[in-house]
Amino acid sequence: MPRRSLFKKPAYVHAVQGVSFDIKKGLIYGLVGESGCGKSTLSRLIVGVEQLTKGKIIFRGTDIVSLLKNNRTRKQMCRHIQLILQDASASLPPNMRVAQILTEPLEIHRIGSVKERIKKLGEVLETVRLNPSILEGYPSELSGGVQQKINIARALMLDVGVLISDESISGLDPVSQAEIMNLYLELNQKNKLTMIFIAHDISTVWFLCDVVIVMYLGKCVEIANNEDLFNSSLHPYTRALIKALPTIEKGLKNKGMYVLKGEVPSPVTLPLGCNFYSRCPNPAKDEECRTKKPALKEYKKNHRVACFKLKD
Amino acid sequence: MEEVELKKKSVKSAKSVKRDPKELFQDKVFLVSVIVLLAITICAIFAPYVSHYDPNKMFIQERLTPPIFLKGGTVKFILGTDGLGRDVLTRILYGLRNSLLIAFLSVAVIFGIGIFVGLLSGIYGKKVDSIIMTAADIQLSVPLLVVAIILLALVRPSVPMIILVLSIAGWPAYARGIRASVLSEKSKDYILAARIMGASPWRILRKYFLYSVFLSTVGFIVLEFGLMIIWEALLSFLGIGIQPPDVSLGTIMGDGLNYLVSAWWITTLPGIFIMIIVLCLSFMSRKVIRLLSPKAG
Amino acid sequence: MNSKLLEIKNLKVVGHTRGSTQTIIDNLSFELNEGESLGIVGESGSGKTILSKSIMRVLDPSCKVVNGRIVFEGKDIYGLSKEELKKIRGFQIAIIYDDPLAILDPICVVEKQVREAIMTYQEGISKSEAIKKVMHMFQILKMPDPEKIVYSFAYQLSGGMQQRVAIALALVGNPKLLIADDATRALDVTIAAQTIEFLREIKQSQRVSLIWISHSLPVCSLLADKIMIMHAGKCIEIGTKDKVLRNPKHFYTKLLLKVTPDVNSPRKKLPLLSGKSNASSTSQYDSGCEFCDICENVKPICYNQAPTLKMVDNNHFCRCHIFN
Repeated sequence: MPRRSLFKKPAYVHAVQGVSFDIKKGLIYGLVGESGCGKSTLSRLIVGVEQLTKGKIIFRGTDIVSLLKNNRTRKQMCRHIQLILQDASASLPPNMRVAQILTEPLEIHRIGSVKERIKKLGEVLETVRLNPSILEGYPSELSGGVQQKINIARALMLDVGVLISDESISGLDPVSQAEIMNLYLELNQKNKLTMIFIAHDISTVWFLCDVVIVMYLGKCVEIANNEDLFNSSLHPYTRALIKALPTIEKGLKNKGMYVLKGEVPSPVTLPLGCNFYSRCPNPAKDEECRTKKPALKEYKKNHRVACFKLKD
Repeated sequence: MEEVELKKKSVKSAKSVKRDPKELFQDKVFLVSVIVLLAITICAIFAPYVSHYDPNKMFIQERLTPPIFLKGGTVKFILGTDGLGRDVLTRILYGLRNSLLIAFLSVAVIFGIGIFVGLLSGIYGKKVDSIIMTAADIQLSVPLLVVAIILLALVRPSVPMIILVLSIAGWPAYARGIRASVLSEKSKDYILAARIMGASPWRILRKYFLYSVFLSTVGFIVLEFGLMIIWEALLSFLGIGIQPPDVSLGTIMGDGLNYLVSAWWITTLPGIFIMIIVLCLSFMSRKVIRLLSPKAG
Repeated sequence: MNSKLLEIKNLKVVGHTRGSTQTIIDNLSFELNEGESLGIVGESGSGKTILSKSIMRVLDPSCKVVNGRIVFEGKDIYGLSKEELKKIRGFQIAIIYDDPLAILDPICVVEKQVREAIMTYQEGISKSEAIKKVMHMFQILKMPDPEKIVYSFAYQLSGGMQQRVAIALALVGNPKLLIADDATRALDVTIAAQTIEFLREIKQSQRVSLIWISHSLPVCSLLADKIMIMHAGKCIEIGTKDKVLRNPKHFYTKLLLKVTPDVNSPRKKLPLLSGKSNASSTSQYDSGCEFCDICENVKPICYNQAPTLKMVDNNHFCRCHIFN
């Protein structure tokens, strides 16, 4: 999207550059990376609230990019893919009671009679384990964990096949986080819900996700299965993310944290070569890294990495 | 897991915001304000019954009589008489009629224009916004008095004309306020969540925006009402508003200018009434806004 | 033997909201020695921020300390005069928040703000001397590109850099105690790691005591010597880091440890919590323990009587009826 300033030429924020991956049905995909890596933008592109500059989104065999541009057809897509946002309380309208918030999706899409809607409401409440007593009240009276469950319940009312969670647990306290992660796990195992779980904390991704996609400054740097990624990660950024995790073990041993030096470059003026060049700790980095962009290559089976300096 | 029982009522009757109105009436400040305001309004509406005097009847012998609470005051003229011997209280009551009516209708017009324009500007943005806001800026740069003089020089001042003048001068501030409120709500997550759910822009407007915009409206309306009363009084004070033999708070104040030191009550008392009205409105609106805002968790 | 730096004795803080009075901190006691660091873990609403505000004596007018004492270096914070308080607040005891922009002035460059802080702390120092001190300080703290940073506005700096400037500001008065209230919450993982190492350096080189507040137990354990778990304004477990983390006694502490995913352990697709739903909701009983609805070891007394803090081991206390 263009940003304009009074005297300079319009600048573009390169939010997502050349990202390609497949999502298989029934699995939980983790999208991990720090701020500015484009993961949130990606989630909004998939549900159609942001516009693509270039590329395709293929859902069940059809390219839906043109569908997402048209308001009417985008509305149909809402019944297949939904997005849960990070701020649980801000996502809920302050002037509606919980019962109304939950039946809103059915009203928008004109699904079912009143009786059927009530039945669906009951089922969904049971799935997310919410007490029906909250229905009469307002969301602002409830805790963060419960509010987020309401957001999830609202999405489930539409019987979606794909659920995207954009940092939906980051703002919650640890016990609520665990509850919501359990819920996602259950939804995936029992209801066969396909999930894209976006996080900046790789430990939650470790717990929940079958396949992990690591992003840095708009590009995918590594894609692998959970075990492969955590046991033998290849990209230096992935390694840094894992090593930078605060753990109780590190605390007990008073171990120093692994520090990645340097600042993240701005997504407006991208580096010439590899996006990660300025912070890469690999002593073997050279002119090639600085001037050319590495492509995502399949290094091992189902394990793709974008790096010039992989040891064979 | 127990059987989940749901009442049909809880789904159907789940309407927007209605807090417990009883809370409103438990606040003393609110109650006093409402009572005072109602009293003033009722007296104004039923002015002929409250005071048996004619507002233009002159008691020349008893001109410049002080109000009852000062030395020389009598029961005959509770708030005294003016330079032509007319009963001040009666004139204030009849004047209130015109002032309140004009203020009310002006606010109604501004409300209509403001909501329409402010919503358009905020929601459609870009070109529409630029055009409307430029018009608003142009209007804002022309002071009330210039508008008044230009328009009222062409046509004889009358109640509709005054309402027109006040509306033209008053709509930009209000429209800007609505637009600001729309812009700030537009970026909120629950609007985005509604879009992700598939809600149409019209539905979002109706069910989500109107509430928060309305909330900010209440404060503005009260301020505008108070402002309209003051503006109308100003125009009439200067002689380009309500014309004799009609009365308004401003004309009374204008009449008393020559006697500011000797008979200060003629100019001051209408001003005090204006002050009381605006204060009451302000107290009431504060309480109403607090009531309508969502409770913190 | 290190002297006591901070003592909190039976602290009780209440707050007035919309007509009702709530107890925000209830009978809290702990000690901190010089050079020692305390990690306070608790969810939002547990009173941790009010605690830090109480120590600095900057509570909102709606909150009041109704009981207890806060003693810093032998002096009662609530008994000090305004003059004495001025020397301590912001200088001897400093604080950094999760949002560095809450501390950094948006309209002046970094140099001006740090310099003014130095000039306030050291009355009589000249402007040029103060500027020299700013540069010196930034060099000691090993800030990258100090010349560039010092003449930037806060918004021009990245989140991690802003937080470091906020820390530098906090260090102007050579504080004995630094309170970090969720200081790495808003930072990316790698930047948070940088900040934590930065603070570790400072802790060692400047010999500052740290009170590190967070809702994440792993983050708290990194810089702390002692750990205190807070819930609903009460201390429910406190002890040395080793004891609390290797041998937790309270049900809630154990719960917190369970819900932390450990990347190094073999991955199992099992839920983190078992059994009761809504584990984070605590009971509404007025008397009795807040955890009686969800605790596994609940006994009849738990519903009627609130437990008190009992010693379970050397330097290890727990608030639970099991230890009666």
